[in-house]
Amino acid sequence: MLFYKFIIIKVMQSIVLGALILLSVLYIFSIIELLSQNYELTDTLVIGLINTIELLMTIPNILLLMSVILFWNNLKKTNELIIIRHYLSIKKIILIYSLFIIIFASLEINKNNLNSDIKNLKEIYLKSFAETEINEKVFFNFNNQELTISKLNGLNIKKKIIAEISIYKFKNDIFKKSIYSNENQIIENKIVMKNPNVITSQSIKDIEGQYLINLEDFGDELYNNISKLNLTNKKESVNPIGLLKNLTLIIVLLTYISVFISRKAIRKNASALKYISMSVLVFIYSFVTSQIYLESHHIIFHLSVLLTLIFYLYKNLINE
Amino acid sequence: MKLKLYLTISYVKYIVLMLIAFLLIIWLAQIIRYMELGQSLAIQLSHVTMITSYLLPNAISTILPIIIFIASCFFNKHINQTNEISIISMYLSTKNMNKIILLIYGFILVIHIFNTEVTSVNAYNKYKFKEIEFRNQFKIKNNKNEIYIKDKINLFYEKRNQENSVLEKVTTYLIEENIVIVSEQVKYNQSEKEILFTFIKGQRISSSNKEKSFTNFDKLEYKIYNNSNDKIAFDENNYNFIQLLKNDNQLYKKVAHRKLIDLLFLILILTISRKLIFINEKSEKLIANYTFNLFMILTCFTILAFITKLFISDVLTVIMFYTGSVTITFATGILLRRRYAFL
Repeated sequence: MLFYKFIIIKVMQSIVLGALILLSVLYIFSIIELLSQNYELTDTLVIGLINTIELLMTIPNILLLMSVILFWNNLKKTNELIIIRHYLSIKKIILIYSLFIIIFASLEINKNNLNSDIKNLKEIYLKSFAETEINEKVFFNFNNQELTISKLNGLNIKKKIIAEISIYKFKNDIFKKSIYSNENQIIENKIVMKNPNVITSQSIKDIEGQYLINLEDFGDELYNNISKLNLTNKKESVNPIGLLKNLTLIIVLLTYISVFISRKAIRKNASALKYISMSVLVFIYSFVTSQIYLESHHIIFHLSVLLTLIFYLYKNLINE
Repeated sequence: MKLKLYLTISYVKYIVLMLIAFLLIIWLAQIIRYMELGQSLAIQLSHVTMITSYLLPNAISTILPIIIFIASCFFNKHINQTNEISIISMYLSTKNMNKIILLIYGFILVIHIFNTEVTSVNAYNKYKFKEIEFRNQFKIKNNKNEIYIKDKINLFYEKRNQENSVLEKVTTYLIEENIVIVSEQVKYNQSEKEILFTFIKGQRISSSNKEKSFTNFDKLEYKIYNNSNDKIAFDENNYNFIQLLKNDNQLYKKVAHRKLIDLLFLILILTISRKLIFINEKSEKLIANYTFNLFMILTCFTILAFITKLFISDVLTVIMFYTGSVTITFATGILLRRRYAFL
């Protein structure tokens, strides 16, 4: 048990050290970038810190890779890694690391949301978001075979008003109806469109009364600064490419560990350059392939990437 | 001689490796940020990689001081763990060790000055031209059965005919006009300045304050013009030290003064690193030492940034700026030097 505790402590130390080094470098980089901009002194510091976290969150995986390298580099030189490997198999070490892999994989999967939150935080800090009006926001809401396009003009969350709303509804690619109103209000968790104009394929008419929209339909996306958003009903849609990419991500993280904890790599005289280059190659390969979109055979391409990485991981594990 | 060479190569190897690793991280972060601008992914990656590569010499100048410090910590940890430090101190006198380190640092300083004044200025000039070219291109995001041009059009299609690239079963939203077009087919031709969309058989629906209508059509054409016409605007990074000093713009003159303080900051880091790499201590104390040094360096950097900010916003005069910056740098140096006085 003490052995496991020792490894976990060493891994956590490596993560903290890696984060500290990365944050220091990125902090200096962010502050220098901000120096020539017209921010107040304290704003420069706070925005610099937010930018630092934002930069780190663009590629959170790099922190895990860095911590694995630090863990390997620190323990290899004192022969502690050889002792660990004598008592624990690579699979058991990977199992210990799995907790950290889950954390970093979830950070990587949710990095777009996290980055969007960080950007919002920056805008809220600069007070440029809450008090000003967002000119335009367009939502494309997909739900099974239905598509709803909503355009909100002159949205002011603070004053709870929306100058204009246009909504277009489709089912199976066939236009059903559109609703427009320039008398709108946000009341509790609903948008109330008063006296709307309704267009169908048969008629165009004004209706006396009101049309209600749930604010929940837009989720948290209503409050950010992104002007165009695609929303999908997550419960009903399963994205096979997304699943493949997530699986690839986890395999890549496992591969990093398998590279550095292999029997050849734990030797005191193992070349740092060789193993770091190998892990950087895996990182670049996974990064570049994850950015590629093919018009046809897209799934096959990502499946082949996944299989390549699984084969490499398998090769590392089987050699043990 | 061999020992001297070994020491030099080992230390320089750490600095170069660290520099490459962090440049890669910064480069990747820049690539990802650029890609968020949204363009067809197929063209983007190579294009963006090339454009952002021009920013790397500038990034080297920015991160070099902290990289030297981190590399020195790692090098010191390495020679402590392998007991090489005891062997080195047995065969090399302090004078000899200092000579080697001064030689390495002199070389680093020359490279840094050349990079800041020549390489990064030239690369930044190229970057500016390429960036404007990139900005003025049509930014078309074309993936997952969706075509999107920011603030202009969003188009969803069921499938694309592989032979003639005609899109089938298409729902199009014209963002600016607030108009929806549902059509059986869409053809589009793209040139440098415009894109022409031809919609075949469908309905055009407008539900806005300006127009409320529902129209059936057999053929409808819609053009999008590329209005991006950004011009190159040079900034302080486009000029070297002499050009900045001779420039009429007061801000540029201030940036030239800042460059001198940046150089002083690098010299401070080199002085701290010179002491740091030959510390012979137990592991736990080493980590505490590194952390303390890092904290002091970051504090010094932050205060220098504040002084620069005050100088740029005309609160401080040139003399006050130099006095403040030099005092802070020397105070940090003395504070960290006193800590190792016992060694």
